[in-house]
Amino acid sequence: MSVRTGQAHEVQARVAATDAGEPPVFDEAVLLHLLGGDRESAAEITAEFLKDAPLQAAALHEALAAGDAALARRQAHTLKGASANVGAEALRAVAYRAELACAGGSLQEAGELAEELDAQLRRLQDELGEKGGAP
Amino acid sequence: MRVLIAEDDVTSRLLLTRVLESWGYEVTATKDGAEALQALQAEDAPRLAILDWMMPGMDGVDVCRRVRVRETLQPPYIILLTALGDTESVVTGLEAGADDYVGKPYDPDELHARLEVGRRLVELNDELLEAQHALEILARTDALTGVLNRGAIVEELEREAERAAREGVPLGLGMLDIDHFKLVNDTHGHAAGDAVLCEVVRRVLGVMRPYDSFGRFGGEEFLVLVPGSGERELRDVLERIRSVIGSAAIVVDGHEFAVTVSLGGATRGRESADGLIARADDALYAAKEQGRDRVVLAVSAEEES
Repeated sequence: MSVRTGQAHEVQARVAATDAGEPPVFDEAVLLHLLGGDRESAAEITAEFLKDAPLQAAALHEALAAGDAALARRQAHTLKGASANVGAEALRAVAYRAELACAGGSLQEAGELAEELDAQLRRLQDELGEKGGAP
Repeated sequence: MRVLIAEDDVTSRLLLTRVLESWGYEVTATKDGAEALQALQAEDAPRLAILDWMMPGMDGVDVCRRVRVRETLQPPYIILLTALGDTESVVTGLEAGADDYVGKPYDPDELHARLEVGRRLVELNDELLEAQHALEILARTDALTGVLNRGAIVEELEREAERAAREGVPLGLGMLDIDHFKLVNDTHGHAAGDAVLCEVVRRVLGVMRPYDSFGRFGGEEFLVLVPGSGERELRDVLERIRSVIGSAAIVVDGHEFAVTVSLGGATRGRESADGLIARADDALYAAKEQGRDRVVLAVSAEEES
């Protein structure tokens, strides 16, 4: 999966991905369901996630660079959980694959997945940026 | 009700906080196991806890184990949040002392329902504790007069006797008997007798020091426990009691009773609580023999032996 830029491409890509049964970049229904429709809290939490996720991703890269599979696995796991909470479905899927790769000791595969994770994170930032950072 | 949450991921922590707040819970948020454990062991700790299983350092299962080591009448109800849904993990978590677990990502309705189960159990626990406490008080109280009953005053005496032996301090015991009480019952009925008993108790309590104990030994007999007192002090206390009862008639339904009491006292030597009661009883018998309405102290155990 390559990094795409530009809003038209982005939206198109998301629609295509959804049609193909792949997870959407962002599904606001997830967070709203958890919060019983509280949009204000949803915006607050999404903003917090967008601040924290890049740090988590960086920590994952660091752990992989250091060859620490256990730490990398936990970072991927945490990112997976947080992504799932906010409805960042595509990011969650990649984080999950990275977690599995770390668990299996395939650090090279995990490294590639970490790159993909960065790309997904940028797509998410773009998409949420479109909406002013709030669902 | 307050809920403690332990979650290392900042987004998940904030989300869980907001979700719980929307259900009306007050949230104490912690970011790792050590912080959670500290909060759960603090005084007035939250009674409900949601712990993430996977946390760096001390994980949720470790926290459960450590919390359960401590014996408490008010244990927290702990729900583990786990992405590890397999049976083995569930068993590990429950065996570590978790009360329940919810899989991640959690369904809010399920989490809410399970949290409500926890709240009900915590409330039930507290209601039972209150009921138990009330029963304990009831079991120690004389139903008619409201003072300690026989079992409770004797237990108190045993405790004080042990303490006196341990700390080498004196202990005084008085035994009180209402003179000719049977006459009141026989001529005016048991209701009048009960009223006299209650008034005697009321007057005794009025002249006792806060750290002395008073209980009904049976019928019209009572025990007065005077910790720290030697013979002179014990005699003063018992004299005060005799005087406050004999000084004015007790009026029941317009009828005046000139009630007096006899008291036998003994100070503790090296004997057991039973021995002390026996000597106070002997002294009481002597007081009756000598004409009633008086205080007689037993010869001290040391002189006797």
